[in-house]
Amino acid sequence: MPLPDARGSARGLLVSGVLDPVSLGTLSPGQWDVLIRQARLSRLLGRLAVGLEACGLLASVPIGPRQHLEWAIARVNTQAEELGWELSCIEEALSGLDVPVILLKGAAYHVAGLAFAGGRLFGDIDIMVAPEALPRVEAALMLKGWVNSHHDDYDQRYYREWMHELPPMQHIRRGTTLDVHHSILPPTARLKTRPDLLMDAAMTLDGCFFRVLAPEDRVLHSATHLFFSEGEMAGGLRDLLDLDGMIRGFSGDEDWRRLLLRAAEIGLERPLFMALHYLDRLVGTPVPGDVLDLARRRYPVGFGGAVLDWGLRMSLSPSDTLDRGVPRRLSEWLLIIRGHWQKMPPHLLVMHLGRKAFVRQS
Amino acid sequence: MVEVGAIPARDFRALVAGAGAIIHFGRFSFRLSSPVEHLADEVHRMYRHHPVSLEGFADFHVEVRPPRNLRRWFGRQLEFHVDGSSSFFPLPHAQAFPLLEWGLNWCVHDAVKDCLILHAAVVEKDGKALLIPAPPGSGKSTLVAGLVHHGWRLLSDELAPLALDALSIEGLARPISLKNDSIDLVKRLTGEDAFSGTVRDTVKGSVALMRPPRESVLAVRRPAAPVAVIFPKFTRGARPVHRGVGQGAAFALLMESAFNFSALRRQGFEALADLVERCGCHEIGYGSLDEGMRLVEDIHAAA
Repeated sequence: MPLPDARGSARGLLVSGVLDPVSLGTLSPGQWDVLIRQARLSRLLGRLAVGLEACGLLASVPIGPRQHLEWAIARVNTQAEELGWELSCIEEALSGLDVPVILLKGAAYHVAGLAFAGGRLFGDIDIMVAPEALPRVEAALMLKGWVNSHHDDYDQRYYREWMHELPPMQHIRRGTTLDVHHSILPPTARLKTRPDLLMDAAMTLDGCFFRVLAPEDRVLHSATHLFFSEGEMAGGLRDLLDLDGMIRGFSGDEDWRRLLLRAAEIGLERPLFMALHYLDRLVGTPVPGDVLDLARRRYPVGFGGAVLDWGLRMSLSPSDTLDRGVPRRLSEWLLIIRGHWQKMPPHLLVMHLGRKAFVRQS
Repeated sequence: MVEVGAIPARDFRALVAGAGAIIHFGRFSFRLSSPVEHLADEVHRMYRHHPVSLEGFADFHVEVRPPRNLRRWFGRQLEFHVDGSSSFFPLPHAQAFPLLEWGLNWCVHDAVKDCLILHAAVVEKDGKALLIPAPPGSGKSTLVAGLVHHGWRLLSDELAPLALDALSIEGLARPISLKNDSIDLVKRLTGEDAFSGTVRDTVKGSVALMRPPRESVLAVRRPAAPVAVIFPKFTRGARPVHRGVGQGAAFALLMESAFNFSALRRQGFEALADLVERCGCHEIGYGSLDEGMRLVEDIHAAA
């Protein structure tokens, strides 16, 4: 078991190793041991590995940790091939509908060719379509073998009335999961946005059936997803580093001005400022001083803000074990409660949690 | 590195209960932490010849311990944890060692992506290795234990890491897992010393593990070239039979037992195709261990 200070220094190692592999220098076997596990549990092993390889440093990593990095690269390559195939199947199912289909998150970063997407490992594919197109899209997917994985009437109603997505669809033969969204926030959420504006601004890509959100909308969606979804933050640090990658792609004042205006226009200033706050503090992403001042001023104040800050910092820092101690479990609970509070008005929340607690899953 | 057996059992128990001990098998290693004394003792006996280190890098961080939730009050149970989380059902306290072995098998085939991991045993003699895949109950491990007792080198009993060029198989030299009647059968042959305690009422019936010979453990980093694939079938009282298996049929059977086949995609497909093209593929049926070993020796001699 590494000493507390070894663990402490490795906490910084993961973020710096992903963003600047050269800075890792020579690590002891014990440091590699912690770093590889932190990277795996933070879902960043692929990014770390691809980054080291791109700098020509992979070969100089000691054989033990290098094997894990090479296996992660193999996983990344498999994922890229599987993603290509899965997207071609979705395209085949939906191309006849004449409905714009927008890819979100991981798959979108890959298709848009964002630099950090190279080693990014992710699970499901997320797409977004206009709400009025939803029934046709669902029917077309079902014709090609995607089925609803939630059969329970209550779950169906939960998704269809209150959520911003259909119940997750699973392909009957390949077992892959597809999330079909019509917005990026539940209609019941406290935070309101304008999915129609997101869809209007979505970009087409050369030779690609799918669209992706505009660059500033990608930042706003990622920030909203990270700080205003259900509160489970298993991939929190990975998502924060996605935001870092997107923001580093900004070229100057004009991009920042557009981002801030857009955040105000579609009601997503709170997630944006929260993201900027943590990007500055935990990652060291370059953010212009005046924007940062704005973000700091908008961070929740008082006891509530302090507790939230404690919980978020806990969840966004890497860990080398999933065997979470009491503080970490407490912080996760806090964030899940906050996430649900953000997601639904109190009467719905009480009904929903009561139902989940007392009605046995069939 | 020192061998596990060089550490007194009491000290080893304390290590495993404390900071953990890193045990090396082939090119892999696991750091074991566990408060369960009888598990530490079994590991100490069954991994006696394996190298052990106390700090540095370990591939798999595993822990076998009682659940922390309410389950701990219902019967004495243990969970297998990797990187601090458990994705297996807890098992009764007595099954600690089989639980560790099954968990380690999962660790290896889930992680490794630079070779095709087949569910098969591998033994070697005179530089020629035999790959013995088989569903549970076919008598594979019994046959392997018999061969190893007669001087064959054990590369692996459960997982065969086949290089992607299909030219070599790596050794792991972990304990051989014997079930039910074969436990006493092999004990009569080899004596009790190399055996773990017998655990009854597991999902696979009674299970006991057999320590690999020291020579096999010392030679574990030397891969071996596969020359034949043998599908064994033990049937009590059956007459010995030997048939060739077509390449296509052998491919299909091996594909079912290849854990990371789909993750390796084209590479996995080609490795397996190269293997069945290069090796003779055989099916043997036999009614006694001696007959089974004789058939294997014949195939080995002709390969």
